[in-house]
Amino acid sequence: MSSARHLLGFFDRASQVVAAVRALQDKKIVVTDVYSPVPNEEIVELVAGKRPSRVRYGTALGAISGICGGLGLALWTAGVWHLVVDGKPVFGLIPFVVVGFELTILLGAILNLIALLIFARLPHRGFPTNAYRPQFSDDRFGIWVTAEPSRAAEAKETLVSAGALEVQDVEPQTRQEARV
Amino acid sequence: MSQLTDEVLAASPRDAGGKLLPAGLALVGLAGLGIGFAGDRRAGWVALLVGTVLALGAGMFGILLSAIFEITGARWGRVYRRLAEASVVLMPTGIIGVLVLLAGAGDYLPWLNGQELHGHKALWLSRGFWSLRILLSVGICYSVGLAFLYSSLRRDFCTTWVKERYAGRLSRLLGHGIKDAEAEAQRCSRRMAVIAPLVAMLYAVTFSMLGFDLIMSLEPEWYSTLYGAWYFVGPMVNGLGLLAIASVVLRRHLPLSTYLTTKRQSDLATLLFAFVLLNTDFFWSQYLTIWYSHLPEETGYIIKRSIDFRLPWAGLSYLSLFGFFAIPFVALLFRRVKRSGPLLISVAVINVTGIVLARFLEVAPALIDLGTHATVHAIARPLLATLMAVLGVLGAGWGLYRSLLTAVPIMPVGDPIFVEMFGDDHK
Repeated sequence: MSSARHLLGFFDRASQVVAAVRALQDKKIVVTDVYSPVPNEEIVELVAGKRPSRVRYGTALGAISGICGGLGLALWTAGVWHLVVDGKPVFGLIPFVVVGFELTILLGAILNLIALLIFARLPHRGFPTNAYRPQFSDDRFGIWVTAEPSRAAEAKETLVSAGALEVQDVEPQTRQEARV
Repeated sequence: MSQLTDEVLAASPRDAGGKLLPAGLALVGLAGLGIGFAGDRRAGWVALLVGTVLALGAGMFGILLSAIFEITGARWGRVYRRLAEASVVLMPTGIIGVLVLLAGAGDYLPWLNGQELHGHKALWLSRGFWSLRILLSVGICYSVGLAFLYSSLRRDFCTTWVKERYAGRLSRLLGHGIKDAEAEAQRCSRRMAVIAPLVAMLYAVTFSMLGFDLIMSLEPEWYSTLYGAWYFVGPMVNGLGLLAIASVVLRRHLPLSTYLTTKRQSDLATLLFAFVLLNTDFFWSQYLTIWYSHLPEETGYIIKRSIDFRLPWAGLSYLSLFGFFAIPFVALLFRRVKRSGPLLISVAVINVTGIVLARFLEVAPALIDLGTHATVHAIARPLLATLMAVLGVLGAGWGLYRSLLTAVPIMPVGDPIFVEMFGDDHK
């Protein structure tokens, strides 16, 4: 694929992007990446498949650590200090649930954020690829297509007929080429 | 005529979910009340009270959710707006139930049957003042809610094709006197923006009062300032569960897949999950406070219902906790459950049952004295009567719900945000 052509289609509607990606995939033309200014589950599923995000493992780890840590902390401190409040048992599970619940949410949320940063490889020091354009964080969608030179015209035609406002040639970075 | 118009016109839910089902369930409900009132009438009062409370809350829930969408400007929920608002059909059932409860109060209220009250409580729980508070709470909340709903529906009738298509008595009322449609639609929007916060605030206040007067007053020696909050969140959880069921059923029978997408169903389920947590939060806050303070006048209420296993209430309490918290909480963590219609319906049914059981457990032990020992057979009749009455309320409500959604557009086609989302293209 080293001689492959890289095309970048610009769109202003999510529905057109979905139609274009479907058409390209039907023709077995490689959709290398799609850029969107807003989250769109349909596009993600088309491009990345229905595989669930790995971020959830981070969240689950945080939540489980939180409930164990919260209950453990409450039980441990109650055991050390023998805090008797209002004649209640030292190890009263009812109030400890609150500590356990709060730490579940807190650590779950923190590890969710950390996992998101790790798996999304954030923060980027520059634009993620040469194909990325600042408009893709504003009001434009972008489809990056990689095609053999003999099929480049067909790929361009597919993008245009799906409603592309513009189609550009791009020179991707080596790392991204390797992904293809 | 646009694709949107065609799809909305085609969506007439008159027979969705079984033609005879509503009438059948309504008969089951009446039979339940019959079983309850035969013999010792207390089982009947329990069933009527729980059924009325369910209808009162569900009747207001949809308008409240619509008002919340108005206040927050939420886009995702626009497609659920009308489906929620149509729950207003349960208002008459709730009002009839309240009137019967007020009329028959002398037959079931302990403090009108020999229980002595002293000081300010005797004044607070005098029959006239008690009845007046209930009527005012229902009247104020429902009036403001209906004013909001009227504007929401009238805004749809400012669209020409809606006026042409819907020609019944209700649509004539809603479209009456519209001369300048655009100006009238804007007037409706402004009115809704003003009324929406009032709906939310009045709901919290009036439904707290209804909780205190309809339920907490059954055991006047027990009181909890948190009870109002715990009570008024219940209809919201119930309502979201019922809305999830209704939307899944309607999507199956009507060409609404453009609007009621799997993604939006998942969002609705996430909102339900949030309210399940909020409901449990209020429940736990109340339980924890009573547990810690350990005051005899407060703990007796909890001991009878959840700790004393010589009585059948305790087992039912844990069943209720599983229904309104544990099962929905775990199930709704999974995306697959939120995106699957049958699974979401199952979770919603469990959740609604859990809330109904919680209300039953607040009412029944106060009215039915089981002594110090009793088996589950002792509560079989009131429980059966209550569940049947609840089925009756929901069945009759489903029939009226379908009729209302046939008489007005099933989607809020006059809502500017809805039009922005679907009027042109699915941008």
